[in-house]
Amino acid sequence: MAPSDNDVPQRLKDLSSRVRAARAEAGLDPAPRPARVAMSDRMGLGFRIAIELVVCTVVGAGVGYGIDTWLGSRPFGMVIGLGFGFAAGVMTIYRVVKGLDEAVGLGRASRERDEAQKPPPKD
Amino acid sequence: MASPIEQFAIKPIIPIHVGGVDISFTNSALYMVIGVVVATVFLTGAMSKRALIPGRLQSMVEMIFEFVANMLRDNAGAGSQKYFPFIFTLFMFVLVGNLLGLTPYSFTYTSHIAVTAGLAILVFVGVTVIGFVKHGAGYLRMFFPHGAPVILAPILVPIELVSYLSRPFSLSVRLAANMTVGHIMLKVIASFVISLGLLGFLPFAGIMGVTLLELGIACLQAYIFTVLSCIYLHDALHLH
Repeated sequence: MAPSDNDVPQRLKDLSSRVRAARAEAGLDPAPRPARVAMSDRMGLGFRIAIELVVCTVVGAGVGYGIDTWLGSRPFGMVIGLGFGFAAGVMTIYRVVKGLDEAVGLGRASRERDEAQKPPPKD
Repeated sequence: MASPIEQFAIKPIIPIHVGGVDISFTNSALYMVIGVVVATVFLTGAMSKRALIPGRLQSMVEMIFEFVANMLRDNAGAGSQKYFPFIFTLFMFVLVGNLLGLTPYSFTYTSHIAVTAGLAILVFVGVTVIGFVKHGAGYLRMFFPHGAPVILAPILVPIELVSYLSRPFSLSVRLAANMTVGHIMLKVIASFVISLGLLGFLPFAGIMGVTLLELGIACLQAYIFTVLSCIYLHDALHLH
Protein backbone atom coordinates (compact mmCIF):
# COMPACT_ATOMS: atom_id res chain seq x y z
CA MET A 1 0.00 0.00 0.00
CA ALA A 2 1.43 3.34 -1.01
CA PRO A 3 1.51 5.79 1.91
CA SER A 4 -0.75 8.76 1.24
CA ASP A 5 0.49 12.32 1.55
CA ASN A 6 -1.82 13.44 4.29
CA ASP A 7 -0.17 11.39 7.04
CA VAL A 8 3.25 12.97 6.45
CA PRO A 9 3.50 14.63 9.93
CA GLN A 10 2.62 11.34 11.63
CA ARG A 11 5.20 9.46 9.54
CA LEU A 12 7.85 12.07 10.33
CA LYS A 13 7.12 11.70 14.03
CA ASP A 14 7.37 7.92 13.77
CA LEU A 15 10.63 8.22 11.89
CA SER A 16 12.17 10.59 14.43
CA SER A 17 11.21 8.36 17.35
CA ARG A 18 12.64 5.30 15.54
CA VAL A 19 15.87 7.21 14.78
CA ARG A 20 16.15 8.30 18.40
CA ALA A 21 15.66 4.74 19.67
CA ALA A 22 18.20 3.36 17.22
CA ARG A 23 20.76 6.03 18.11
CA ALA A 24 20.36 5.34 21.82
CA GLU A 25 20.77 1.61 21.20
CA ALA A 26 23.93 2.11 19.14
CA GLY A 27 25.35 4.46 21.80
CA LEU A 28 25.69 7.30 19.31
CA ASP A 29 24.28 9.96 21.63
CA PRO A 30 26.98 11.06 24.06
CA ALA A 31 25.88 11.19 27.67
CA PRO A 32 25.09 14.78 28.68
CA ARG A 33 28.32 16.25 29.97
CA PRO A 34 28.45 18.66 32.90
CA ALA A 35 27.92 22.14 31.48
CA ARG A 36 31.26 23.64 30.61
CA VAL A 37 31.39 27.36 30.17
CA ALA A 38 33.15 28.25 26.94
CA MET A 39 36.29 30.34 27.20
CA SER A 40 34.73 33.08 25.07
CA ASP A 41 31.73 33.16 27.44
CA ARG A 42 33.92 33.86 30.44
CA MET A 43 35.92 36.41 28.48
CA GLY A 44 32.66 38.05 27.48
CA LEU A 45 31.59 38.33 31.12
CA GLY A 46 34.97 39.79 32.11
CA PHE A 47 34.83 42.34 29.32
CA ARG A 48 31.31 43.26 30.27
CA ILE A 49 32.26 43.93 33.89
CA ALA A 50 35.31 45.99 32.97
CA ILE A 51 33.49 48.06 30.37
CA GLU A 52 30.42 48.59 32.54
CA LEU A 53 32.47 50.06 35.40
CA VAL A 54 34.49 52.37 33.16
CA VAL A 55 31.55 53.51 31.05
CA CYS A 56 29.27 54.25 34.02
CA THR A 57 31.99 56.28 35.74
CA VAL A 58 32.77 58.24 32.56
CA VAL A 59 29.09 58.90 31.86
CA GLY A 60 28.53 60.06 35.44
CA ALA A 61 31.50 62.41 35.22
CA GLY A 62 30.31 63.60 31.81
CA VAL A 63 26.83 64.40 33.10
CA GLY A 64 28.41 66.25 36.04
CA TYR A 65 30.65 68.21 33.68
CA GLY A 66 27.66 69.08 31.51
CA ILE A 67 25.76 70.38 34.53
CA ASP A 68 28.85 72.39 35.51
CA THR A 69 29.13 74.14 32.16
CA TRP A 70 25.39 74.76 32.16
CA LEU A 71 25.07 76.15 35.71
CA GLY A 72 28.66 77.35 36.18
CA SER A 73 29.05 75.33 39.36
CA ARG A 74 32.55 74.01 38.65
CA PRO A 75 33.86 71.71 40.07
CA PHE A 76 31.05 70.39 42.29
CA GLY A 77 28.88 68.87 39.57
CA MET A 78 31.71 66.80 38.20
CA VAL A 79 32.80 65.59 41.64
CA ILE A 80 29.27 64.53 42.56
CA GLY A 81 28.68 63.10 39.08
CA LEU A 82 31.86 61.03 39.35
CA GLY A 83 30.65 59.62 42.66
CA PHE A 84 27.22 58.75 41.28
CA GLY A 85 28.80 57.30 38.15
CA PHE A 86 31.07 55.05 40.17
CA ALA A 87 28.15 53.94 42.33
CA ALA A 88 26.11 53.20 39.21
CA GLY A 89 29.00 51.19 37.78
CA VAL A 90 29.38 49.09 40.91
CA MET A 91 25.62 48.55 41.06
CA THR A 92 25.49 47.44 37.42
CA ILE A 93 28.39 45.03 37.96
CA TYR A 94 26.66 43.64 41.03
CA ARG A 95 23.57 42.99 38.93
CA VAL A 96 25.50 41.44 36.06
CA VAL A 97 27.41 39.11 38.37
CA LYS A 98 24.36 38.16 40.43
CA GLY A 99 22.56 37.32 37.19
CA LEU A 100 19.83 39.87 37.86
CA ASP A 101 19.61 41.29 34.36
CA GLU A 102 20.74 44.78 33.51
CA ALA A 103 17.34 46.30 34.19
CA VAL A 104 17.51 49.78 35.58
CA GLY A 105 15.39 49.92 38.70
CA LEU A 106 15.76 46.16 39.06
CA GLY A 107 12.01 45.95 38.51
CA ARG A 108 11.79 42.69 36.64
CA ALA A 109 14.56 40.93 38.52
CA SER A 110 13.21 41.69 41.97
CA ARG A 111 9.66 40.90 40.91
CA GLU A 112 10.76 37.55 39.55
CA ARG A 113 12.66 36.84 42.74
CA ASP A 114 9.58 37.69 44.78
CA GLU A 115 7.47 35.41 42.63
CA ALA A 116 10.02 32.63 42.97
CA GLN A 117 9.85 32.58 46.77
CA LYS A 118 6.13 32.32 47.30
CA PRO A 119 4.46 32.94 49.66
CA PRO A 120 6.11 36.37 49.81
CA PRO A 121 7.45 37.32 53.23
CA LYS A 122 5.59 40.12 55.00
CA ASP A 123 7.67 43.23 55.50
CA MET B 1 55.95 45.37 9.09
CA ALA B 2 52.52 46.92 8.90
CA SER B 3 51.20 48.39 12.12
CA PRO B 4 48.62 46.20 13.90
CA ILE B 5 46.04 48.99 13.84
CA GLU B 6 46.46 49.78 10.16
CA GLN B 7 43.63 47.36 9.40
CA PHE B 8 41.16 49.75 11.01
CA ALA B 9 42.03 52.73 8.81
CA ILE B 10 39.10 54.26 6.96
CA LYS B 11 39.94 54.84 3.30
CA PRO B 12 37.61 56.70 0.99
CA ILE B 13 36.83 54.74 -2.16
CA ILE B 14 34.55 57.25 -3.89
CA PRO B 15 35.20 60.71 -2.43
CA ILE B 16 31.96 62.68 -2.05
CA HIS B 17 31.90 66.14 -0.47
CA VAL B 18 28.60 67.92 -0.01
CA GLY B 19 28.77 71.46 1.34
CA GLY B 20 32.07 70.87 3.15
CA VAL B 21 30.84 67.63 4.75
CA ASP B 22 32.78 64.50 3.88
CA ILE B 23 30.26 61.75 3.06
CA SER B 24 32.64 59.67 0.96
CA PHE B 25 31.88 56.05 0.21
CA THR B 26 34.57 54.38 2.33
CA ASN B 27 35.86 50.85 2.76
CA SER B 28 33.69 50.67 5.91
CA ALA B 29 30.60 51.58 3.87
CA LEU B 30 31.61 49.07 1.21
CA TYR B 31 31.80 46.27 3.77
CA MET B 32 28.46 47.29 5.26
CA VAL B 33 26.95 46.98 1.79
CA ILE B 34 28.68 43.61 1.35
CA GLY B 35 27.38 42.52 4.76
CA VAL B 36 23.80 43.45 3.90
CA VAL B 37 24.08 41.74 0.51
CA VAL B 38 25.59 38.58 2.05
CA ALA B 39 22.88 38.42 4.71
CA THR B 40 20.09 39.02 2.18
CA VAL B 41 21.42 36.50 -0.33
CA PHE B 42 22.00 33.92 2.43
CA LEU B 43 18.54 34.32 3.94
CA THR B 44 16.50 34.54 0.74
CA GLY B 45 18.63 32.08 -1.24
CA ALA B 46 18.52 29.40 1.44
CA MET B 47 14.76 29.78 1.88
CA SER B 48 13.93 29.84 -1.84
CA LYS B 49 13.00 26.14 -1.93
CA ARG B 50 10.74 26.23 1.16
CA ALA B 51 11.12 22.46 1.56
CA LEU B 52 9.18 20.63 4.27
CA ILE B 53 12.34 18.72 5.12
CA PRO B 54 14.96 21.48 5.09
CA GLY B 55 18.35 21.08 3.50
CA ARG B 56 21.54 22.24 5.21
CA LEU B 57 21.26 25.90 4.27
CA GLN B 58 17.55 26.08 4.98
CA SER B 59 18.14 24.48 8.41
CA MET B 60 20.75 27.12 9.21
CA VAL B 61 18.38 29.96 8.35
CA GLU B 62 15.52 28.35 10.29
CA MET B 63 17.79 27.85 13.31
CA ILE B 64 18.91 31.48 13.29
CA PHE B 65 15.31 32.62 12.89
CA GLU B 66 14.07 30.47 15.78
CA PHE B 67 17.05 31.42 17.92
CA VAL B 68 16.30 35.13 17.58
CA ALA B 69 12.56 34.58 17.98
CA ASN B 70 13.10 32.62 21.22
CA MET B 71 15.58 35.18 22.48
CA LEU B 72 13.06 37.96 21.91
CA ARG B 73 10.20 36.04 23.53
CA ASP B 74 12.24 35.00 26.58
CA ASN B 75 13.85 38.36 27.21
CA ALA B 76 11.31 40.93 26.05
CA GLY B 77 8.11 39.07 26.93
CA ALA B 78 4.60 39.42 25.57
CA GLY B 79 3.86 42.05 22.95
CA SER B 80 7.43 42.10 21.72
CA GLN B 81 6.79 40.16 18.51
CA LYS B 82 6.07 43.43 16.71
CA TYR B 83 9.72 44.37 17.09
CA PHE B 84 11.04 41.07 15.75
CA PRO B 85 11.98 42.42 12.29
CA PHE B 86 14.14 45.12 13.86
CA ILE B 87 15.81 42.79 16.38
CA PHE B 88 16.46 40.16 13.70
CA THR B 89 17.96 42.75 11.36
CA LEU B 90 20.13 44.08 14.17
CA PHE B 91 21.37 40.60 15.03
CA MET B 92 22.14 39.71 11.41
CA PHE B 93 23.91 43.01 10.73
CA VAL B 94 26.18 42.66 13.76
CA LEU B 95 26.77 38.93 13.29
CA VAL B 96 27.61 39.22 9.59
CA GLY B 97 29.83 42.22 10.32
CA ASN B 98 31.76 40.31 13.00
CA LEU B 99 32.17 37.19 10.87
CA LEU B 100 32.98 39.10 7.69
CA GLY B 101 35.76 40.85 9.60
CA LEU B 102 37.41 37.52 10.33
CA THR B 103 38.00 36.76 6.65
CA PRO B 104 41.55 37.74 5.67
CA TYR B 105 42.07 41.15 4.02
CA SER B 106 38.59 42.29 4.97
CA PHE B 107 37.48 45.27 7.02
CA THR B 108 35.53 44.90 10.28
CA TYR B 109 32.90 47.62 10.35
CA THR B 110 31.76 46.60 13.86
CA SER B 111 35.23 47.56 15.17
CA HIS B 112 34.39 51.22 14.67
CA ILE B 113 32.60 52.94 17.48
CA ALA B 114 30.83 55.21 14.98
CA VAL B 115 28.99 52.19 13.60
CA THR B 116 28.24 50.48 16.91
CA ALA B 117 27.26 53.78 18.53
CA GLY B 118 24.88 54.41 15.65
CA LEU B 119 23.18 51.06 16.31
CA ALA B 120 23.20 51.55 20.09
CA ILE B 121 21.73 55.06 19.89
CA LEU B 122 19.02 53.72 17.57
CA VAL B 123 18.14 51.09 20.21
CA PHE B 124 18.37 53.57 23.10
CA VAL B 125 16.23 56.27 21.48
CA GLY B 126 13.75 53.69 20.18
CA VAL B 127 13.35 52.03 23.58
CA THR B 128 12.98 55.37 25.37
CA VAL B 129 10.34 56.54 22.89
CA ILE B 130 8.44 53.23 23.19
CA GLY B 131 8.60 53.49 26.98
CA PHE B 132 7.18 57.01 27.07
CA VAL B 133 4.52 56.22 24.45
CA LYS B 134 3.36 53.12 26.36
CA HIS B 135 3.51 54.49 29.91
CA GLY B 136 3.63 58.28 29.57
CA ALA B 137 5.30 59.99 32.50
CA GLY B 138 4.92 56.73 34.45
CA TYR B 139 8.03 55.52 32.64
CA LEU B 140 10.03 57.70 35.05
CA ARG B 141 9.12 55.26 37.83
CA MET B 142 11.73 53.04 36.27
CA PHE B 143 14.43 55.17 37.88
CA PHE B 144 13.37 54.19 41.36
CA PRO B 145 14.11 50.60 42.46
CA HIS B 146 11.13 48.47 43.35
CA GLY B 147 10.62 48.34 47.12
CA ALA B 148 13.39 50.72 48.17
CA PRO B 149 12.78 53.21 51.02
CA VAL B 150 11.59 56.56 49.65
CA ILE B 151 14.09 58.46 51.78
CA LEU B 152 16.92 57.11 49.63
CA ALA B 153 15.44 58.58 46.43
CA PRO B 154 17.90 61.53 46.19
CA ILE B 155 20.77 59.02 46.00
CA LEU B 156 19.14 56.19 44.07
CA VAL B 157 17.48 58.23 41.32
CA PRO B 158 20.72 59.84 40.04
CA ILE B 159 22.49 56.48 40.21
CA GLU B 160 19.76 54.77 38.18
CA LEU B 161 19.68 57.71 35.79
CA VAL B 162 23.43 57.44 35.14
CA SER B 163 23.06 53.68 34.79
CA TYR B 164 20.30 54.23 32.22
CA LEU B 165 22.26 56.85 30.29
CA SER B 166 25.35 54.65 30.19
CA ARG B 167 23.48 51.90 28.29
CA PRO B 168 24.16 53.08 24.74
CA PHE B 169 27.79 53.78 25.64
CA SER B 170 28.42 50.37 27.17
CA LEU B 171 26.58 48.63 24.32
CA SER B 172 28.66 50.32 21.66
CA VAL B 173 32.00 50.31 23.50
CA ARG B 174 31.67 46.62 24.36
CA LEU B 175 31.15 45.52 20.77
CA ALA B 176 33.75 47.83 19.23
CA ALA B 177 36.37 47.08 21.91
CA ASN B 178 35.92 43.33 21.62
CA MET B 179 36.31 43.41 17.87
CA THR B 180 39.30 45.78 17.92
CA VAL B 181 41.12 43.83 20.63
CA GLY B 182 40.62 40.50 18.90
CA HIS B 183 41.90 41.75 15.58
CA ILE B 184 44.94 43.49 17.09
CA MET B 185 45.75 40.30 19.02
CA LEU B 186 45.58 38.21 15.84
CA LYS B 187 47.79 40.64 13.98
CA VAL B 188 50.42 40.84 16.75
CA ILE B 189 50.64 37.07 17.14
CA ALA B 190 50.80 36.71 13.36
CA SER B 191 53.79 39.05 13.23
CA PHE B 192 55.70 36.67 15.56
CA VAL B 193 55.38 33.81 13.07
CA ILE B 194 57.95 35.31 10.69
CA SER B 195 60.18 37.00 13.24
CA LEU B 196 60.70 33.85 15.33
CA GLY B 197 62.06 31.94 12.34
CA LEU B 198 62.13 28.20 12.98
CA LEU B 199 60.18 28.54 16.22
CA GLY B 200 57.44 30.29 14.26
CA PHE B 201 55.20 27.22 14.43
CA LEU B 202 54.45 28.06 18.08
CA PRO B 203 52.68 31.39 17.42
CA PHE B 204 51.17 29.78 14.31
CA ALA B 205 49.51 27.17 16.50
CA GLY B 206 48.49 29.99 18.81
CA ILE B 207 46.83 31.81 15.94
CA MET B 208 44.68 28.80 15.19
CA GLY B 209 43.44 28.77 18.77
CA VAL B 210 42.89 32.52 18.85
CA THR B 211 40.99 32.39 15.55
CA LEU B 212 38.63 29.82 17.04
CA LEU B 213 38.22 32.01 20.12
CA GLU B 214 37.54 34.99 17.87
CA LEU B 215 34.86 33.03 16.02
CA GLY B 216 33.21 32.35 19.36
CA ILE B 217 33.52 35.98 20.40
CA ALA B 218 32.13 37.20 17.07
CA CYS B 219 28.95 35.18 17.61
CA LEU B 220 28.81 35.87 21.34
CA GLN B 221 29.09 39.63 20.92
CA ALA B 222 26.33 39.67 18.30
CA TYR B 223 24.24 37.69 20.78
CA ILE B 224 25.04 39.99 23.72
CA PHE B 225 24.27 43.11 21.68
CA THR B 226 20.89 41.72 20.66
CA VAL B 227 19.97 40.17 24.00
CA LEU B 228 20.67 43.43 25.82
CA SER B 229 18.51 45.28 23.28
CA CYS B 230 15.75 42.77 24.08
CA ILE B 231 16.16 43.33 27.83
CA TYR B 232 15.97 47.10 27.33
CA LEU B 233 12.85 46.59 25.20
CA HIS B 234 11.36 44.52 28.03
CA ASP B 235 11.82 47.41 30.45
CA ALA B 236 10.01 49.73 28.08
CA LEU B 237 7.13 47.35 27.39
CA HIS B 238 6.52 45.96 30.88
CA LEU B 239 7.21 48.48 33.56
CA HIS B 240 7.31 47.06 37.06
